[in-house]
Amino acid sequence: MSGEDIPYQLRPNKFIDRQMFVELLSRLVVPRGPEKYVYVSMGGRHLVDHYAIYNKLGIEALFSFDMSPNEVARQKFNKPTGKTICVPMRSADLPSEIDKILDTFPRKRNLVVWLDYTTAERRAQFQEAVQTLVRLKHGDIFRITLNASSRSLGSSEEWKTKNAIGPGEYRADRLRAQIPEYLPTNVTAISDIELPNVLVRCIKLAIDAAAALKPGLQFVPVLITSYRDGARMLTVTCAVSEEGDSENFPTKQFGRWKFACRGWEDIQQIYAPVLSLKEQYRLDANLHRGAKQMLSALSFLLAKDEAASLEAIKSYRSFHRYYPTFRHIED
Amino acid sequence: MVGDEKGTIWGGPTKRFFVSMLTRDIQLTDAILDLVDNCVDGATRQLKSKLRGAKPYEGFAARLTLSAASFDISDNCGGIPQAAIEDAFLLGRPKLDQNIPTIGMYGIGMKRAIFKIGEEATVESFAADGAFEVSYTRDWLNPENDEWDLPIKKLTDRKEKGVTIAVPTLRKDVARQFGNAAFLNALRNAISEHFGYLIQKGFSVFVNGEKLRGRTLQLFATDSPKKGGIRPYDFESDDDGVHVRVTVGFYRPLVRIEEIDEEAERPLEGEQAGISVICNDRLVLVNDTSMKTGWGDGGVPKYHPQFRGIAGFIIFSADQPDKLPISTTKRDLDIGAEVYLHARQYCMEGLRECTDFTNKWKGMEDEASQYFEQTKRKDVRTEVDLAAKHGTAVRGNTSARKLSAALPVPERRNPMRRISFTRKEDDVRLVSQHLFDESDEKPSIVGQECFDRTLKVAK
Repeated sequence: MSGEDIPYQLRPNKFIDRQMFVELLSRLVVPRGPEKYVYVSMGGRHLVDHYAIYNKLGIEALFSFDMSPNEVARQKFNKPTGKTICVPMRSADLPSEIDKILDTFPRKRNLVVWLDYTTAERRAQFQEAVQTLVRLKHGDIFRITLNASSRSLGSSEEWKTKNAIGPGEYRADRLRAQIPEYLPTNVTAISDIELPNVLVRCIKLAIDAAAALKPGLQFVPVLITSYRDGARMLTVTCAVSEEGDSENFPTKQFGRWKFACRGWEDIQQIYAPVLSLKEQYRLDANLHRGAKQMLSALSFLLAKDEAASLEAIKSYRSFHRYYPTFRHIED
Repeated sequence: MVGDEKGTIWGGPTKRFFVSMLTRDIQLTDAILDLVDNCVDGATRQLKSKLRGAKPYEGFAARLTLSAASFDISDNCGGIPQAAIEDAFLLGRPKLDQNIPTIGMYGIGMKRAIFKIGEEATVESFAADGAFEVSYTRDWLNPENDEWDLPIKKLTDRKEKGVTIAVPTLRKDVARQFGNAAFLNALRNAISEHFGYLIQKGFSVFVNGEKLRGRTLQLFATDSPKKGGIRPYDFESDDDGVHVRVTVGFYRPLVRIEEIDEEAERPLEGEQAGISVICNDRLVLVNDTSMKTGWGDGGVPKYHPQFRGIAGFIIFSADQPDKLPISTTKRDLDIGAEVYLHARQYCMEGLRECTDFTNKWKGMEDEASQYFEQTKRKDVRTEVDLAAKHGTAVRGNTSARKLSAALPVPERRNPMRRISFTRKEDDVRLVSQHLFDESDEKPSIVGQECFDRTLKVAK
């Protein structure tokens, strides 16, 4: 399971991922004018993203869709502004509906589109992504989240019953059967932890396939993250530009952002250790010190061993600005 | 009045036809496959009759380097001998290569590929009897230029014998494609598929340094025909210098009805079902599910997603390429050729067996899966030789042998029957809540539970 039924507030890694996304948009969209943009995503029942996008960036043109009429009814109840549009729609229909969505917001010129998938129906998802990408324009933002759990390519013992050479080869064969055209030919085995990296390469090929269909369109990765609350997820965000446009998008200044993507292999691994407020304060007081010293400040381990605890602290140090503070109000 | 005093008019070709019209008949990927084909032909000529054995092509290789700036392909397959130079650069072949199992017959592949890819090119050859370089200059490639002579110069010989085609300047649209990683991945996939059987026989192909793995057909096949389980239909014959092999079976277990329903809403997997046709080790037709290979003809049902587990191939091998049923592009069939129609008949026999099996087990796919679990998938070309070893005679064809798949049949006394119906979503949810205390159970499970409870009462 992807964690979709866990309340949003109890998924600290997803929380951090979204905070980073909002900050990313503040660097890409705000300088160009948020009033030009329409934000389109699946939203979820509580439209948490839409709230964040509206509250922190001031984007008022918000569009949400979901297959289930009941979820849409719930979205309508929860929508952050009266102008927010929530419709029953399949993600497969999004590409052909983009023109209609822009018609609904006649003064908006650009899109932020987020295909936020949780299942592992990758063939349909990649095809939808390509069809969406070819309809984007200069200044748009494309974001896709995929299920990157290795279990989505078979349980740990399944390869034995299928006469595969090994689990890694079995996973590669399964993924090749799903998306033969987007899986690089030199991927012959996928280890237990490699799927996010492999999927990034697949997305790169899907983006190149879109660029071949629409010469002149360019897609630059601006943020790649992977996190795990329930299942491991992968999110890739790209800025869209067009050959010949006088505006540099993203700008050179964007490259100064700490998390600005340096290339297709630059994946931010988000791993937030579960911390009490007291632990969090202690770590915050020691942020200027090295990871080892931060760990000694706690005098206990945060994970199964020292190496894992140091990794957790390094991750905390990178993402502490976004770390959620959840506490019962009566505590 | 057009013509000269002799009463004749010029009926020869124009440069434009070759350098800018003929290139439209072929896709860029296919043009590159033609170049690799030529490398293989070189290796085949080197091997002469030593083509038997598991890996006769071991040591022979084609290396392709592509980028948005340039293209080159080089091989170590023997080069172009002196006696063949003139024919090699003619547009069209004056005579056929005899006794060489190739699929090149028309003498146009290399030139058409060069015209398709570049604005200028050089061809270097290092053969046992000499080395030379031929240049296709921008001037020569100008459609308005009626000069047909190509500059040729001798080169200093070298140890490794082979051909290198270098294209330093690409056509604009080609440069864009060569700079696109998705195109390169598709090209690698096409080479792995098209030359899968030659790679299996030891030939190597490298694209931008990556050694490609061959892709070949794997089907469920029992170790012995006496064992129960799943095995393919297999046919072999030797007729008029053409060896034919037809094998049809299952590459995956039967598709469940739920999968077909899901697939109708969104694609789940790439299509691997269907019949492929292979001529002299090159894939000419891939995963065909049309009348071309017998689907929907002579009692074989039309292809339908329920048959997604069925795959197979028709293989033709001949030392005289003009006996093969292929078209000029080498990537399509001459489906009217007698040799092809004959093989297609047997392909239809195999398809009938496999589609019958699928139909008989419809709705009982889980029960049928036991037969697949008992059986392993094997490489058909190298590990399955059912017709040759165990086949029976074929009436009217003394050189042919065949072995039917003889697939398991379900119990006839009390066969399974499928029940299918639709109801409004609200009602299904209501019944689901009533039966399972959850409103979102799958409709098929809700229907089954209704039947099972009623059956209990009825009994």
